[in-house]
Amino acid sequence: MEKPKLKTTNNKGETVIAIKGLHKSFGKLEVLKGIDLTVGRGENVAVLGKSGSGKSVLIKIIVGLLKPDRGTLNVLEKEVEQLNGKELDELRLRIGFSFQGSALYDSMSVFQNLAFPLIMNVKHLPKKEVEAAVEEALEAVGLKDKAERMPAELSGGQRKRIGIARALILKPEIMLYDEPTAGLDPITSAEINELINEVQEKYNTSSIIITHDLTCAKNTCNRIVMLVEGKFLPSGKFEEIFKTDNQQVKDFFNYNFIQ
Amino acid sequence: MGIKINTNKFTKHQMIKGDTKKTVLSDSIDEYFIGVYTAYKFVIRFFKEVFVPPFHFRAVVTQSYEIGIKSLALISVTGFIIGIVFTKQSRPSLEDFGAASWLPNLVGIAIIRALGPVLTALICAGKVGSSIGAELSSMKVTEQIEAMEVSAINPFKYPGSYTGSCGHHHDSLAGNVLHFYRTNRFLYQRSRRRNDQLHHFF
Repeated sequence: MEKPKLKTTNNKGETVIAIKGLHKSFGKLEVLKGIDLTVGRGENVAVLGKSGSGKSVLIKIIVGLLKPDRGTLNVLEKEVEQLNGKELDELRLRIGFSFQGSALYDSMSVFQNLAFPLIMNVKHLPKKEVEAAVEEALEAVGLKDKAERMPAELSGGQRKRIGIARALILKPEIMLYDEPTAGLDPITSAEINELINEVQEKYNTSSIIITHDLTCAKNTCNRIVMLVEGKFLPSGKFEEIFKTDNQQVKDFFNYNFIQ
Repeated sequence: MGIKINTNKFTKHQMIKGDTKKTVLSDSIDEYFIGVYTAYKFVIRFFKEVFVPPFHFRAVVTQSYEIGIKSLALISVTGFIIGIVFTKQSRPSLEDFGAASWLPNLVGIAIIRALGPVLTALICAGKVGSSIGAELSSMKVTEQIEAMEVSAINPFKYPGSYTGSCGHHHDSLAGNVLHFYRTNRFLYQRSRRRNDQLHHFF
């Protein structure tokens, strides 16, 4: 399969996410132990790590679903911790979130799933505009003909795509993907990887991709960081990151690819 | 039991935050009270959100239909059966005192004033409450609630919480109307027929 060309649009040098000294604990379990991360505009960053290492916690903190214990978090020039409810909502409208299990509303059709965030956030939006926006989002993910289907009637890959389309409908500046290829076959995973790249090119989004799929990380990201025992190892390109003596990183690489 | 607390630095905020967490009594007791506090906050927020705009009237109507009108069959069957049992059990005693003609009034008043609302509420709490609970739990597990939050949609406003509550009251009202129409009408006619038969017999 041809490797997709990554578009690096970090030419402005603008930072959209800046995290410094972030700590997060659940009871006595300390998950994040002072992590630092910056993401530039138009940049795709993959966060690798074992299950339970705190990758998803990180993006949930970024979007304000969880509160950090310590540290600073600046997203789109806003200090997330300082925001009140309304300001946080305004920030969330600029961030798209693709959930691991897609999180589609199972009582609504695909069309309703996509229209719901629009209707709830944009008052008095004409029906035609809603339909046009939904159509555009579905077209972007290649599922224009599935608008009337219910989520239960879709395959895992299609659900992921619809989840991404729902995140895209509000035209976000940042996309957060939580294990976009988890539980998918290699061909569908490749399609999702391609879609992530298309989204970045078309909407010029900055993305954080949480994954433990090295193929996904390699094909979609400009930079990779690895979360080991609550701390990030130095970031770098795919080839650079695995040239290390760290045994956990080596194991991660070895077990991901068939030797 | 030693209380480890630094009164200079300790605040409620710090108590919830992870690495500054301090044990006040013991871990389990602290957790219990934090749980109670969280539940209290949830309930307060629920009532606050119910009366604060924006209101989603269309969602209220839809949910009222889903959980109110669709419960009418169950409520009417229950009311119908209770009416029959009530009549059947109280008739012999009333007859002994020559008060069988008072049966329609007895059944009507007892069901409409006392039993109807209670039973309707209980049935709704069981049927509708468990449905809402299951739906919300499922939404929480499948991250649909979080999906609403990240789309800047207040989950307290939309899915079922207060619409469920509204639907519940609507349901009670509808249930009572049906009680009246089905149960009492039927029993009244049946009782009158019986009284007429007895009158002719004597």
